[in-house]
Amino acid sequence: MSGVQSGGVQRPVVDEIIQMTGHFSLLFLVLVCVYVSRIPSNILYKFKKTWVQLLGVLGIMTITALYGYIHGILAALAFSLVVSHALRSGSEGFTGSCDSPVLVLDNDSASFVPKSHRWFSEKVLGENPIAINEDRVTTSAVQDLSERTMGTNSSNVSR
Amino acid sequence: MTTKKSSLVSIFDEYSTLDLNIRSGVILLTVLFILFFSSVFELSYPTQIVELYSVPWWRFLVVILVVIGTWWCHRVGFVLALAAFFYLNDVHMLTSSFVNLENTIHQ
Repeated sequence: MSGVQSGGVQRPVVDEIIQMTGHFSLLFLVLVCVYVSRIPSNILYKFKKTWVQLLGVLGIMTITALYGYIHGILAALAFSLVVSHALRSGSEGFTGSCDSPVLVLDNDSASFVPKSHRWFSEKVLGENPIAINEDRVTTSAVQDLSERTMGTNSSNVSR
Repeated sequence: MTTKKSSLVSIFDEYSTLDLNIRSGVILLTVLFILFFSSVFELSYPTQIVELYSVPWWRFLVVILVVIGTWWCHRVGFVLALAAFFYLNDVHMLTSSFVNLENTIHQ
C-alpha cells in the first residue's frame, strides 16, 4: 500500500505537455536569437507580410500565457530580431540562382519567363531565370534644370 | 524568541531592500546603456563588444543574460531584452554588406 500514491492533484495532460516542452522551446528560442542571420531568406521573406507579423504577436502572447515571462520575453526578442532581419534582407530578384524560388514567385508583380523568347542579355550571359520581378523599366531623358546651365543653353540657342 | 524573530524579519527586509536597490541599479544602468549607445546612431558601441559579436558563444552569453535577468525579475529582463535587441540588431547591420542596406533604402 505504501507504493500507492494517495492525495494530490491529478494534473491534466495539457499541463504535462506544456511543462515538458518548456525547456525545448526555450532552447529553440535561444538558438533563433543567436543564429538569426543563418535563417534562410525564403523563411525570412514570409515575415515581411503583415498577417504573419500579427500572428507572431499573437504567438508571443500565447507563449507568455502558456510558459511565463522568460519564454515570453525571449520569444519577443527572437521575433523582433527575425522581423528586423526580414525587413532588411532584400533580394535583387534576378540573382541567377534557384535556391530561393519562393522568394521570387510569392511577389505579386512576378511573372514567369518564357523559354521560347529569351532576352539578348540572357543569351549572352547564359542566364536561365524562372521568373522575374520587374520586366519593364521606366526611364526619362536627362534634364539639367539648374539655372546656370539653362542660361548657357539659351546663349547657345541665341547663336 | 520574539527578538530573534524580529531580527530575522529585519534581515529579510534589509535583504529585500538590497535586492530592490540592485534591481533598480541594473535597470538604470541598462537604460543608460540604451540611451547612450543604442538610441544614438553616431555614438558607436565599444570596440570589444563589436568584435565579439562574430563569436557565437558571446551571443549565447548575451541571450542567456536576458534569460537570467528575466528569471530574477521580469522588469530587469524586459530592459535587458531591449538592450540585447538593439545591440544584436545594430551590430549585425553595421557588420553586414552594403548591398542589403541599399535594398532596404530602395524598398
